[in-house]
Amino acid sequence: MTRAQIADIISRRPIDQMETITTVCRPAEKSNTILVTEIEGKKWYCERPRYEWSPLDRSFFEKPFVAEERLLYSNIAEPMGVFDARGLWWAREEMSSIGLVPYFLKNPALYLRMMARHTANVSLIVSAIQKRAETFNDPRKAADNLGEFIVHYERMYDSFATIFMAFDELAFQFRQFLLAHCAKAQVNTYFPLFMSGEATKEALAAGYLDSEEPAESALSRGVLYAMYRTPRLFYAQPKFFHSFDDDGATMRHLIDNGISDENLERFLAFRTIVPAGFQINEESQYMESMILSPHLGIVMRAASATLGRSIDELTEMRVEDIIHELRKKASRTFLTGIPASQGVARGKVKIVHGVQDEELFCDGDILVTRITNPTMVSMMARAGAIVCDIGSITSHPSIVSRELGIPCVVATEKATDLLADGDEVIVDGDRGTVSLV
Amino acid sequence: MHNTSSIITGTCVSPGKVSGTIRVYQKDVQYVKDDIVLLNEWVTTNVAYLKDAGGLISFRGGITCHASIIAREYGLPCLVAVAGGECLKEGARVTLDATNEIIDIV
Repeated sequence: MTRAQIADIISRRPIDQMETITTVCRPAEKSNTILVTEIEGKKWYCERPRYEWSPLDRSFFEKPFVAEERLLYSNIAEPMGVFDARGLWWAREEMSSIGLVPYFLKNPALYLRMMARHTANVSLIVSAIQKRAETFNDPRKAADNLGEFIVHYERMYDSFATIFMAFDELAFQFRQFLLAHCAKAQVNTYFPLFMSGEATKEALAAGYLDSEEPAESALSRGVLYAMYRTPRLFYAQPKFFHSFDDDGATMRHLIDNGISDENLERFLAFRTIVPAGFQINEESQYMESMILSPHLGIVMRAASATLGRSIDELTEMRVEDIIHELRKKASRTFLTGIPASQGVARGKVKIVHGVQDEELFCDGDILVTRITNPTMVSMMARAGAIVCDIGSITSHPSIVSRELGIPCVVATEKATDLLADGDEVIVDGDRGTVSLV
Repeated sequence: MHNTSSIITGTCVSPGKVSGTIRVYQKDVQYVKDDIVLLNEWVTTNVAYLKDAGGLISFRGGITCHASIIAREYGLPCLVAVAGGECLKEGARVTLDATNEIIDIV
């Protein structure tokens, strides 16, 4: 059989003849979840384990992908599959038992569409995060940015889970198919070609992949993956799978050994969508590695600077706790209340609980208390400014401070919680703000 | 009398045959042609250090795992999900025949 004849077989399979499909992934919940993929009114279910959010184990932190490991990989005892925390066998088994792969083999374009759709979803998430990129260096925005990352990562991992599972299952089934028809050594030479990130001409022609080439494409994707730590997105030019000799040799072997038409169809479907699936599968991962992880790194460095803790320390913390600390710190640097007496003063904070604090109160200190009372008047007279948790423009601190002509801010709600003795602050009685220096 | 050489098998993710010395993976170590790197855990960074290694062996993983991708990228023979590999120790001389899914202790 000549290559031209083989190419003829392939060309008889138009790839883009299917209707549009929609995929719906339920948002991640705090328990094991079921991914629902809806194809032409028919629902496909796939179980996934809970995604572990803490500690923050992204590639940036040089830690393993916990979820990924549980999702796809396994130990020696159970190769190519995973038991979840409840002891349920899932991923591969779940997918094959419901017949998703056989279904996709009959409709290869649907498979690519589903994969491409999820990748597009990841791409949208990436651009949503990128819109905030100019604020990533800003320590005051670190808490908001981290919160944003959590939301986006949650959504992204839903798409990831679908992409990973669908692809991993497909690749596994293809290898099993080849093992059933060819010698092991031949499979082991042929199959890895599919897994090298190649794209078929069919997939390219159908517009599923972008072949735009960056300047650095002299290096292959995997090498770039290891080298770059700054945000970027790139496409490496795919080598055309059809240029490999093993392809023709394997096809010849199958045909010479009298493969049935049905199995030849399956083979051609596998051969079309596995390489394209790999490319799409990688695409979303690269977007995460090349853009999200470095961005997250920048935000984490900002958080690290704000909190005065090392990145290593932060990676041991739950991300929710990091956000909480950042918020606490942020509100500490900027309190707002009601401006009760005009003027601006700078000084050291002294938290006052009552007359017993008088000895420690120095002239010019900022008197911070829940609410002043007449026993504090001698301290108020020496204070640089007055800050209270509660009060209004007609309450005791407001009246006395106006009398004394010193700035006063009342109704800050949490000044006594968030400020500490000795903090250097600026009290702005015109705007009703207290900021740490 | 010496032990007869034992055979260890796994799943081939990148073909090829190579002889070398088992090196248990350590971070930031530059591997050379004679090293067959044994991965016990996921390698997510500094994979460039593996570029010049002779081959990779992983007790875990599958055909789409990170180690597999690295191996294919660098063209290193690689077996994953290796069973019966407890006897693979640092410094052992082995022949890794990934194409036929066999590891021979020399």
